[in-house]
Amino acid sequence: MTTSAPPLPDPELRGRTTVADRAVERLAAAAAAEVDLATGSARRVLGLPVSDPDRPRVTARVHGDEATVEVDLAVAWPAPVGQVARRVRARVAEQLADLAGLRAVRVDVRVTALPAQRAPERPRVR
Amino acid sequence: MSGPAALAPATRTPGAVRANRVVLAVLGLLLLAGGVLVLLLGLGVLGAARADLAVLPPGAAVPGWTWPVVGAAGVLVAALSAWWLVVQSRTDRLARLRLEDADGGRTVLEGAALTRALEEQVEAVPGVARASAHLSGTSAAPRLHLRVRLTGRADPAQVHRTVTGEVLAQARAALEVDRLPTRVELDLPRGTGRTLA
Repeated sequence: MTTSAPPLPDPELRGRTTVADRAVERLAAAAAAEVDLATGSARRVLGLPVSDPDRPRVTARVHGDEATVEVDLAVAWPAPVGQVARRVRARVAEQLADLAGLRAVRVDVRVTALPAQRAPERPRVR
Repeated sequence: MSGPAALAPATRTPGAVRANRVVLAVLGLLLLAGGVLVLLLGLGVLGAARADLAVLPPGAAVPGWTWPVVGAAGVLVAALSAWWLVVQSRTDRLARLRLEDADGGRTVLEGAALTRALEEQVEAVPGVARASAHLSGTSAAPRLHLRVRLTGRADPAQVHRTVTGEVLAQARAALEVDRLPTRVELDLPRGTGRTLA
């Protein structure tokens, strides 16, 4: 009662930021997955996939109404990687603006795999 | 570069090669100078009395700064040796390709993603047992090295045509570049070598 507690950072603000980061990450991952030829890439440990490869992995930071986003994804071989990345960047920025009212100041794209599409035009010999 | 020398794996950076040349030249000159000096001393060219002199006469007073200087020189030699060792591990392999670096964000392609995709594509070519790829150069001007081990059951010329024609065309499309300088090495398995006449 008599001791004065040290001034805590505003807990409400901190809590809200964490949730917003995660929410933005999910929004951005969904937006990136909508782009043609862009898929997720499984995280690899010692060369073995250990995570769900369906969705791009996203980390995001929100400052006020601005977001910086990093997207890890795979691009289907042999699609032009730079073009797909540009479309992902545009789509993520668009979705964040529409759905969260955030301005994506920076969307970094890291392409971690170029998986070959399951090509039906190359039939296996029976 | 052509001929067999061109087939030597070019993985060390020009910087490392230059460092090796300079360090070996300096070491050689130092050792040569030391050897010549000791030889001249021993033969008595610099005075007969000096030839028989002990290196450190017993009881001779050594100036106080000698041992700190020897210690510092040792540390310097150790540091230079460590630097030389680290330089050896420097290769010109390219870990990632920066495809775009704009205000809105950058695009990076992991080198392993590209080489893994290429290896898969090349290994799908009939007559190929194994393939390994690596990248060198810079993001703006990447170079590709492909090593292809053949099964020996397909015409190497045909494999070469498929690899350079189809697979490398896909790589150029993926990177959106007009040219991707590539060195392809075809390894024929032992014992099945045949004359390519």
